[in-house]
Amino acid sequence: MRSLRYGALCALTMLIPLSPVSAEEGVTKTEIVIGNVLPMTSSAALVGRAAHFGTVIAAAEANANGGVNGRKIIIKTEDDGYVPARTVQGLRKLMDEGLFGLIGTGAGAGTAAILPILEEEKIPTIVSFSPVKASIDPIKPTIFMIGASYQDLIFAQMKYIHDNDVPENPKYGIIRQDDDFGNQLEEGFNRAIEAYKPEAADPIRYKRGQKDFGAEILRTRSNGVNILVAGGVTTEIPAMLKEASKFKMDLRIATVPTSTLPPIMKLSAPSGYHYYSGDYISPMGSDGTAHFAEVAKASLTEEELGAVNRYSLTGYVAGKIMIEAIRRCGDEPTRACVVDKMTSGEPFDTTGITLPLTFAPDRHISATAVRVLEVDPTAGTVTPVTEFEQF
Amino acid sequence: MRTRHFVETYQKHVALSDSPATWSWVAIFIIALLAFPFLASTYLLAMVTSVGIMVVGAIGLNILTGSTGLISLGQAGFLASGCYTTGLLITDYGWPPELALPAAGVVSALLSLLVGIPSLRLKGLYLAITTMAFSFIVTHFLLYAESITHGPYGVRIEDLNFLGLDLADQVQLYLFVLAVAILTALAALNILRTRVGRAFNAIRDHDIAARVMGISLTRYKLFAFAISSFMVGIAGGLMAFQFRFINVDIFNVLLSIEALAVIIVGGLGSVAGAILGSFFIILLPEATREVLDFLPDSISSALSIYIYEIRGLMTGLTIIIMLRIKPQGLVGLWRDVKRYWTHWPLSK
Repeated sequence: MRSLRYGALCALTMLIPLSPVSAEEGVTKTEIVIGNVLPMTSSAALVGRAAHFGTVIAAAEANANGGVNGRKIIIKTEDDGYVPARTVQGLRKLMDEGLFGLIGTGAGAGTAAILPILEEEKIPTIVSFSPVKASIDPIKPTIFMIGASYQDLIFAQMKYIHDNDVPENPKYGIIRQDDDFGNQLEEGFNRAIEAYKPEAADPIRYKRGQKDFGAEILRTRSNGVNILVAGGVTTEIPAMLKEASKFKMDLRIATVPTSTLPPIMKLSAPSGYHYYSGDYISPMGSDGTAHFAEVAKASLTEEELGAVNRYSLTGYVAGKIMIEAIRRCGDEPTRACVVDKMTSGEPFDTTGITLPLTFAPDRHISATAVRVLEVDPTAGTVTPVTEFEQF
Repeated sequence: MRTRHFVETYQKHVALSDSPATWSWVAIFIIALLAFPFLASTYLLAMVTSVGIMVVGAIGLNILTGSTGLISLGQAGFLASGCYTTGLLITDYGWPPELALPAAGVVSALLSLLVGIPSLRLKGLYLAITTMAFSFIVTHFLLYAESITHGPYGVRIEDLNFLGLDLADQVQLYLFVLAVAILTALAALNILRTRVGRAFNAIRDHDIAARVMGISLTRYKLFAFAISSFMVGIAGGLMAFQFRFINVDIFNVLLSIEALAVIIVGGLGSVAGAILGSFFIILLPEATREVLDFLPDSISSALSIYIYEIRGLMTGLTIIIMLRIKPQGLVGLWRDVKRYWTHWPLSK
């Protein structure tokens, strides 16, 4: 009998209700909760953490000015470890704790995984960490996207090289990761090949997490490639450059925006290569990011500032837009109102990081113009070589 | 107080348990699990649903590794084949989920025969490496056979009606997974008490002696592979129902190692061990998070940038301490606790 009573007590303990109920999810009289699900660990942590701190800076700036109509903005971030299934779990956790809107949506596959939930729950979302076309094509009522696709970023660089820096006997090649990210790069590569009809080698795929690219570079060399899309996510880019430098290969190199991050530039410097990158925001350290740098310094600790990079800018921009849309809704913000304000056509100021951004009911994407950048990792400089252009 | 175990009838001999107290505990546990979704938060519900899926897979692995002694690092491959079979049959071929789920088990079981046959002469680490290679082949196939598997883009599952249940609804999915987990546990308990189960144990304890006694090693090892993989395949199918987006990224070798950790931490060769191990491994990171949330704000903010690494370290450390203190796993710990309370106040 004693064991039965004890068992019943245990069973009752398990049944304690855990979730609070409110009129509008994530909004209380004093707070509004905005969430991120980002890779805070794994090989993508360098960018995931930076994006998180970008949103923290946007919230801190709003809170320092009295909050949003008297309410404090709270940022909650869940780690998905760069695994789509965990992006789903992270989102469910945020929803459980009360989530008003979402900014960080994981990497490409993670974003794709949570799209059905975001649609079902009508959560205002700004996809900015890893722009995925499926987020806004076809248009989903509450989901918005900032930034050009990887296809456009690669195409812009290949067009620039074709028009301005083409070597003798040009032959194009790509080394890319064997996932959705790599597929997007290859689509951009193929678009350029179809547009300019140059000679091109077959794409080379590598497995996610690969560290050594000796075999891939040897194949690239034997194929006679001299214009290479180095399609690494982060540290894969300097690893490819290091291998290429061993053979003193004469290369024009196109990369993704992570190649402009200081740690990646530092790792790339010994190879001696200059390379191209593309971006839809102003580079760190430029005039366009001066305000951001000032606010970041006031909002973060020294250690946290060390984690800030280019991805903090996109996190900050997404945070600014979400917060401003909430502010425009007045004292009683609702998810429906925020979506209305987002699509009203009224521009959102991003303090110079991009031109003021707008969305419309039939256009849920903004900041798609791309600028080609030349990166000198030895000098640590990132120089725009074109103006912003639509591709 | 019961001091000895006497069985007087055949019915009692074949019963899963002849102890009313055991059945009472099981009933209480099941009632609590049935009431759980109506009171718990959706996130906690999703976590316990994951535990249920892990239970199905872990019971399958336990039959192969715990009961038959065949170490497998190929669970990620079997899980992936089950998950993709269900997802692709529903999405691309329009199969109803009622058929796609059992098909996941069948496909995994058939694939296990492909691994099992060449592995018949292998034992221990050699078998582990062979099964791991199978896992690599499966993930490679899923990634590169884009025309069949959607490659890196993954598969999104829209329609999830299973015998009138809407599995997109968290509560209904939870109840469905619970039912499958209970059926799997009952099936495993029964298999392990039959001639087949005893043959598995004999092979595990001494395969040459088992052969001398007339046990066909070929037949029973393949049987163990097939039963185990069927259950793991079903677990994969349930994963497809839970996530509704499947992608090859999660089926890495770490998942196979985690599955082994579940049955080792829970207790090898025991169905209860697979259940306890699944709860422990899935809920431990959450428990770690809760513990860290209790830290004073000054310490929390100082650690904020490393908080995710600290969680991972604490999770690993807890498993090490757990196995150091109780190598028999959670089942051993449970038996000790039970013995202590049975003999209390005379327990030592």
